[in-house]
Amino acid sequence: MKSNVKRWKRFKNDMTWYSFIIVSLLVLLIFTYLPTMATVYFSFTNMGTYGTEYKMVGLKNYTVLLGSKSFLNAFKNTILLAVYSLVKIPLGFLLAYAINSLGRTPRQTFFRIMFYIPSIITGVSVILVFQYVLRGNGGLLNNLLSKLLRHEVTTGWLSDPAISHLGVTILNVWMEIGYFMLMCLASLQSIPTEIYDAAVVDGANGLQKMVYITIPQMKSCFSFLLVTCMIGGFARFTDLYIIGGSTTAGRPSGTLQSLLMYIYQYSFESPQYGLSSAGSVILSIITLIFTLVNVKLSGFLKEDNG
Amino acid sequence: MKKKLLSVLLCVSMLTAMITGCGKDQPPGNEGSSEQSSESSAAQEESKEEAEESEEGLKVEAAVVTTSGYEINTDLDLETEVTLDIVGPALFQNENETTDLVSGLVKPGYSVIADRWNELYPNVKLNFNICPWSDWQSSITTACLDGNADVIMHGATMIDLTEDLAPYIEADPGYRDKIYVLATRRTTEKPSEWKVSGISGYTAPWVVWVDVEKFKAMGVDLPSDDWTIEEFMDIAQRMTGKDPDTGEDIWGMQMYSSGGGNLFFNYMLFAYIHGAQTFVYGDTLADCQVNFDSPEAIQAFQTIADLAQCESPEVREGVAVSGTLDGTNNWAMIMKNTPIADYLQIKELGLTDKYKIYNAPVISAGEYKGIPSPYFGDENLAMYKDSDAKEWVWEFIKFMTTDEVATQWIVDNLIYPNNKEAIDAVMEIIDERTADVMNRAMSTMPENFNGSTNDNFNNVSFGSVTANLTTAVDDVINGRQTAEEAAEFMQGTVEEFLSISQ
Repeated sequence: MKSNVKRWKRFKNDMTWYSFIIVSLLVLLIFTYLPTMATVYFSFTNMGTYGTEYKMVGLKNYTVLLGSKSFLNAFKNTILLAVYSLVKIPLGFLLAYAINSLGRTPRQTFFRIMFYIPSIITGVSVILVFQYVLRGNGGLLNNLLSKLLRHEVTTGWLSDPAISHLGVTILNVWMEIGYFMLMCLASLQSIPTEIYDAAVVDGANGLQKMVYITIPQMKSCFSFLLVTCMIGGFARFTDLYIIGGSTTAGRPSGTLQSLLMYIYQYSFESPQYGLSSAGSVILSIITLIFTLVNVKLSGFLKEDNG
Repeated sequence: MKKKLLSVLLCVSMLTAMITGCGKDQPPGNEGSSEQSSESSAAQEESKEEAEESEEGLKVEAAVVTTSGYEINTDLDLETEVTLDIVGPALFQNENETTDLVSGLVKPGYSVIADRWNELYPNVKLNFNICPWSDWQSSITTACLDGNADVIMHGATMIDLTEDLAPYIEADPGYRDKIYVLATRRTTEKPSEWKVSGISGYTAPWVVWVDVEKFKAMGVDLPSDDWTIEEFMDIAQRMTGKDPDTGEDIWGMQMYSSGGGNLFFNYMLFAYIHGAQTFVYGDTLADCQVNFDSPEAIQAFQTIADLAQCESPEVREGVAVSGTLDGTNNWAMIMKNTPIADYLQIKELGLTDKYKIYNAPVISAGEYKGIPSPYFGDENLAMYKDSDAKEWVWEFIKFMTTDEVATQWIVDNLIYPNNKEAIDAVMEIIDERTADVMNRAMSTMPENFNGSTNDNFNNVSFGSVTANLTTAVDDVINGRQTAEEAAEFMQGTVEEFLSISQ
């Protein structure tokens, strides 16, 4: 009897803590895992519009996608754009390093805020403004380049298929550099100053301190940014959709069609839900593989555990 | 000192983007025209102010719709309480009166419709679940799966979710004659047959606006009302050049939806004109023929390529393009499908003598030879196939397309009702010519024509035709593909889809 009361008390005590996890797990199960499993299931069906009749078609949707030139083109674009977007990490680091060098002064606060501001502006507004900045004819960037280079520059940063990847990367960097700067700055400021003091005693110069102390100490920060940046890169949609004139065509010439846009067009524009589910599964697998490789190479989890 | 230097460097990097803004917002080489433009803008501003002073805001004078097409249906159960769920985007965007921030035009909200409906049927409550265009298909699908849908706004393209309205039309003699068009679609299951997937609430026919002043300046005669594609092309080319008086660049053409999401429709418009039949429908998808590589289809792409030479570089690039008729245009002709709103705007700006409206060029070959190239945009009303209140849904659709208050409400929203009698009402707010052009476009529309599944376009059964055709047309406009290459690309993408999906 006594042990039962004790067990009941222990159970009640445990339940207090489990309740927090159970709520999270239930939310995850209902809103993430079940839809994910449903998507995997639908990827083996020929469902047209979501919720209508369907039958199982095995791996057909996967063979259709992997044999489709447009899907492979979207796949290539997605990978390239995700890789290009990684430039935000070194740029964010350099910016953070420069701002950190100002010391804990009002000037540092000023630059920290100013460089972060683009991150809090609505993405759609930024994209619309950048369409003017980056357009080929009379674009603001081209006007500046024309003045600097003393000859007319009419580069279509967003409309020339040869450089549209660069154009959208410029836009992406401008929008998100503040976040990367802030993350790097937080990591920079968490490095113990004693290490730098010891290095100074040993006669290390500024560059040596950066290469041998700062960068290795920020490894976990870089790993985190690498993983989140790649995942974000794989999920590009809104900016590319708007730049293309609110179509999933990936204008110009399909160079800006991402996998998510490809999936979207078969989900809603020409509804073939089975096909779009298969595309989603492929995108998830690619994201998972890249994340695992990144985590493995960067030792991100090891650092965390350690 | 080091920190000050660093601060300066950071400031420089931050200001770089701002400095770009100091450049002139005009392509190099247009310096000579800036003074003229500002004078012209000032003149427009003055006339706009005068117009504003003389009117009570920009509110359109109410026209009196005299339709008597709708009568209360006493065969229905007028006692039992029913709620009709209306889901989707389109017509019913706002509950109350709104003012368009760009044009200043005032439009009534859907409360007018709800009030009128409840006057007739107090037992049937209308529940508006309106979603934005950004995610309309997913919102409709979700509402249908949740069982919260009866009327699907703009749902005709989602043919898996809609009821075929043909039996309802047959059972209602006289209804078909009252309206211009049905929102028909071809299905993937049996492409050779039509399904009446909805009824257009309003229609937006393709028209061409011509800048009369630029024609005078260039010494080019205005087109004839039955202009052919040859005349159309010839005028576009002759109108491209420098204004002899001002030295400003004039561009002969601005094609449909330049810079927008519907650029692909240009192919359809010119394919019809050249008598192309890009899709020949069979009983099954396997029996269908796709002819993007036919001589007529290639000719349609070539027409787009040729007209693109008459477009300004900004328009070809498609970034930040304006199609507003406000007197600041550098085009001589523009293809649009918003005639009522356009007319009211030019009227408010005092520019009715500057712009003149025309029907699309006539079809030069094939079954529809002699009629203006058919195209109209619309926002339709469809019936959810599993609705519990189908008889009320049909009644609401009939009400929206034939009732005088509903028709008046559509006119007050500056759009053209799918109601033949409404032309008289429309003529009270726009000029006779604009009304005639719209009426001609809709009256000559081939039976069962729709913008989604027709002889030259299909976004339902052949994969991502919309996205691919957008790419092809954009590439042809910008010289990245020739007409032949675009035709080959389109034929290839559709054939690839058909081969791997069957």
